Amino acid sequence: MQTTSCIRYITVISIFLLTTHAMHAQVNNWSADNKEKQHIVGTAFGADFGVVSSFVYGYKTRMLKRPVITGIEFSFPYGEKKMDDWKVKTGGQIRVIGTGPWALSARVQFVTRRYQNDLVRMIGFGSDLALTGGYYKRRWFAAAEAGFDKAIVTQLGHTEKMRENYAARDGWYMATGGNFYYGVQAGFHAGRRWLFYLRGGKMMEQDLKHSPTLPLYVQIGINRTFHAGRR
Amino acid sequence: MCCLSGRILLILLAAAVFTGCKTYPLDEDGNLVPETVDEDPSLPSALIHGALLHTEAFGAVDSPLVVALHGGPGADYRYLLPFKDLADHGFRVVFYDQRGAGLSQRFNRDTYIREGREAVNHLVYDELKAVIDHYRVKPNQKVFLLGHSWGGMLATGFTGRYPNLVNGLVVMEPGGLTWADVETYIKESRSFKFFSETLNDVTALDQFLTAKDHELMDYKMGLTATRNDNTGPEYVAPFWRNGAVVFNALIDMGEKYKIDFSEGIGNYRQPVLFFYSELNKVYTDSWAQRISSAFPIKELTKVPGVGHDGIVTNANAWTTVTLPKLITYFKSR
Repeated sequence: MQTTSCIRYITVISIFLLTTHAMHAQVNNWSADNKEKQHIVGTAFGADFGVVSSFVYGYKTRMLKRPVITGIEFSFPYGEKKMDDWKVKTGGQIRVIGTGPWALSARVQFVTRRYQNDLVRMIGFGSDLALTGGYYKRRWFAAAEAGFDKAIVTQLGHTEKMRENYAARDGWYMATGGNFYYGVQAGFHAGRRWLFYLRGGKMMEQDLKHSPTLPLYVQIGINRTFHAGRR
Repeated sequence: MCCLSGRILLILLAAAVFTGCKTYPLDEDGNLVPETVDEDPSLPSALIHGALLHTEAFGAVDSPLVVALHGGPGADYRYLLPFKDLADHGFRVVFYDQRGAGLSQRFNRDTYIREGREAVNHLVYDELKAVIDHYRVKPNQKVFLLGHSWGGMLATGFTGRYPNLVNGLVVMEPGGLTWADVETYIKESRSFKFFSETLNDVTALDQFLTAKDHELMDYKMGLTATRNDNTGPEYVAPFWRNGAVVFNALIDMGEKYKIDFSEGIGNYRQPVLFFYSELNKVYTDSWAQRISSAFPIKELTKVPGVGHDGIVTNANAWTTVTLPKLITYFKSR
């Protein structure tokens, strides 16, 4: 098994993604302040495969004559063991089409995540693709979203405790899972720089028959924008 | 331009990852979970009631039968192997993994669902009856049932259905006997704290692994059965392989048809030996009284210093409390 080369490749990718001017904000008002480049920082709390907190950084600019946000989001669930589970999403979101207050945006993210319990440690790489369409006014917005979060490749490393039961094979496994999600999001601006938002919805496993143990996601968050120069 | 070149680099690197790493298929036998008896002929097995079951027995073939029923649904008998000690005391101890569970043959969900209200009768009680028939070598050979948790519920239901066949019944912390009690017990035993590691260990896993086939679902179920502070301090009891499909199917059928495991047990006039544990926070004295009230004649034993599984898996509790009680009870029947 070429684990060493895998780790090398993945480390390179991770460093690249983390150092590229990054990030996404899963929630954005496409009608607010599109005339300037912006830094966006934010935090959110909610339920997303657990009770989680997240921190985001985004950079809003224009590309192909459209507003674009690139960025990074780091989230971690609560629990007695800190940092044994976490998720990092890097990618971008672009307004695809829009007319008046109506807008449709697409989001593409590369997902890195880690999980550990008493039996196994998992490191996974995947993607999160989503479309969001809604009504965006200068001070508020409401939108619907739908997406697919795919676990493309996952490394499993089992503990001695697991081996006492069964010596499951450590290594990389392809296409270990995926979840569809759909829901709504809404937000309002307090002043020019602050955005408060709420998003939530339902999740289904990729076979469309099963649901995750926690089949809903809910997120309440706040973003702050900073001027980063005129276009 | 920077973004474009970045994307190209990303694609190239991603391609490197997926071509440079050796990956394993999820559904390859033996990668994540042990093979079942239909895949591994070296395992002890028997074709019983239309299913190839993982089963074995210890002790003289014509000794009184003690049939062990494991918990779950969907667990296996590995953690019940201390029962083998009964073979040294003149009993024939029979183990089997229920269909779809442990290392027994797997079946699709439809196999259970299409039985409707009769799923437990046809697939569980009839299977147990067939197991007894398979191992019983003489008509007057005594039959004792020894069930832990879900196995205790099944043993009770079977005894209510065949009271004259069962010479003695031992149950260890059956969650409930009516479905309302089962639901209450499940709810209480899985009421994890909102910000706890235990909750996170269960829910976060769904991002990595989702339902696909028996192997993956069984593996995933096993990973979530690591620890439950509500039901006791023991680490996860040793197991071979969980049966996720049968677990979900039987729980769904129970909810739909409100299965009553206490049906007929009021007519059973033999003493029932009822174990429960001191450290299972959900199985309080009052809960033990409530559940055991279905048995007209019973003897309750509270096993000190252990939780749900520790009644069997804790070596000290097993040798000093549980085993002596079992021997005394079986020899008195």
